[in-house]
Amino acid sequence: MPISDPADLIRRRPPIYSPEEIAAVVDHVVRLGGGPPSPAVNPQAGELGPGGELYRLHCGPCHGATGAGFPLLSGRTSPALWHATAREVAESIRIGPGGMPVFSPQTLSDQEVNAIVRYVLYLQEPDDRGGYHLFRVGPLTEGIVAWLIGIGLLLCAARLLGERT
Amino acid sequence: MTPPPQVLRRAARWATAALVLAILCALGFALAFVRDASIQVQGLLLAGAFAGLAVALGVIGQRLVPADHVVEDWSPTATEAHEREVLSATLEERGMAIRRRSLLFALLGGAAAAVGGALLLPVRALGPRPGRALFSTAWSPGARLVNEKGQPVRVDDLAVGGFVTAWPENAPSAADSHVVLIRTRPGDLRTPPGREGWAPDGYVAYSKTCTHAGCPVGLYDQRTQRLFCPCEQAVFDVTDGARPIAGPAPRSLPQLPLFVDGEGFLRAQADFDEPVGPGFWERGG
Repeated sequence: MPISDPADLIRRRPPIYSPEEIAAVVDHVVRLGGGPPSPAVNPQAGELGPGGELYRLHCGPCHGATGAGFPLLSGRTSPALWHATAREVAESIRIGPGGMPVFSPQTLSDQEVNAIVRYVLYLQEPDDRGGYHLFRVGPLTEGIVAWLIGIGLLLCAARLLGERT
Repeated sequence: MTPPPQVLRRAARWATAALVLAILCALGFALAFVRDASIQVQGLLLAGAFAGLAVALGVIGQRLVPADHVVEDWSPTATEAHEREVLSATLEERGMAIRRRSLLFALLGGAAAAVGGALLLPVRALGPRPGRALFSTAWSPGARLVNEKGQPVRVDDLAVGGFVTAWPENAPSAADSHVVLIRTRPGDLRTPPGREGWAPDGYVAYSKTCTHAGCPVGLYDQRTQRLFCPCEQAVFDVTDGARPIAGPAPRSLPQLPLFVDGEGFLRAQADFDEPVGPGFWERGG
């Protein structure tokens, strides 16, 4: 922010304005009236398990099961959620920035938004039960690493054991 | 040639050490498993046990088992000439005997046909034919649209640009009946002929089953009004009857005709007017 054209791809960048300036701009726009208030979000009040289910139904199709983002249409992508703050996630759900759909309070209650936000924050620091996470790129990388290292080791062992004549 | 004894002794020491390591790691793994230690510790101990076994077997195979090439002399194994003559004469005589017995010959053919036929029977397991089941879904006239929690969707529930996955209230888990319900901007819709009155208040409902390979069409870009299938990147235009505009989908997503009842609930006018999902032989078109 700010982007020079509404059709531009929104990428995460260091903010140009300071927090005080952002607060001032927000205050000014709120005084213009007409928009919804910034949603109150409390991730700790949400439940992680139901949040995961809601995430996979409503968010996962575009943002991916791990929150890594996903290539969409016409060169655009859905952003990764690994640096999003709780407030950014909740505001995006309610407003639908860019191509993202709008999720009204009737579709997702405030309690459900809390649960989703808690799950998104969990995805930023997940409990990697399988061991090393390999940068959480996905099963393809994990498979390649397993094949290269595993088959490499097997080849070394076969060469050591084999008899050369 | 036998390796010098000190090499043998060293190899035996290595193998012993590796086997002891394998035993310790295996016992450690059992203990870690019972005590519910972290999965990484369990993995390391199991890997250590297998590595110990592998090293021990390798050392034994390489060093301790004699690896010399020894060639054993064999006498010639070919059958002698006169025995071969006797054998071929016998075979010819018996073969003629079989050919003379026509019953035996017919039975041979019959057995081959029976076995072949029996092996063809499992083709039946491909059935039964689906009949007309693929042509209809669980939507019935007047069925309310419910969300994943089973709550009916009201006409003011979705903001413009909002979307939700919906099912018929009488079959809230019917996989062939799920629809994407989208609230479009007023005036954005180009209504295809014959579908007037299907989209009250800008609400459109399309089958969520992709017409290409049946994946859930779950990605919706509200700015360009496009639905997007994550499997093979089929793109559908929401404002134009979910017409495929890119990717492999051969047909539009079937549209569910909607109406709003007196209490503001969204209901289906009828079932889809065409089969949902990918094509099949009897579908035609």
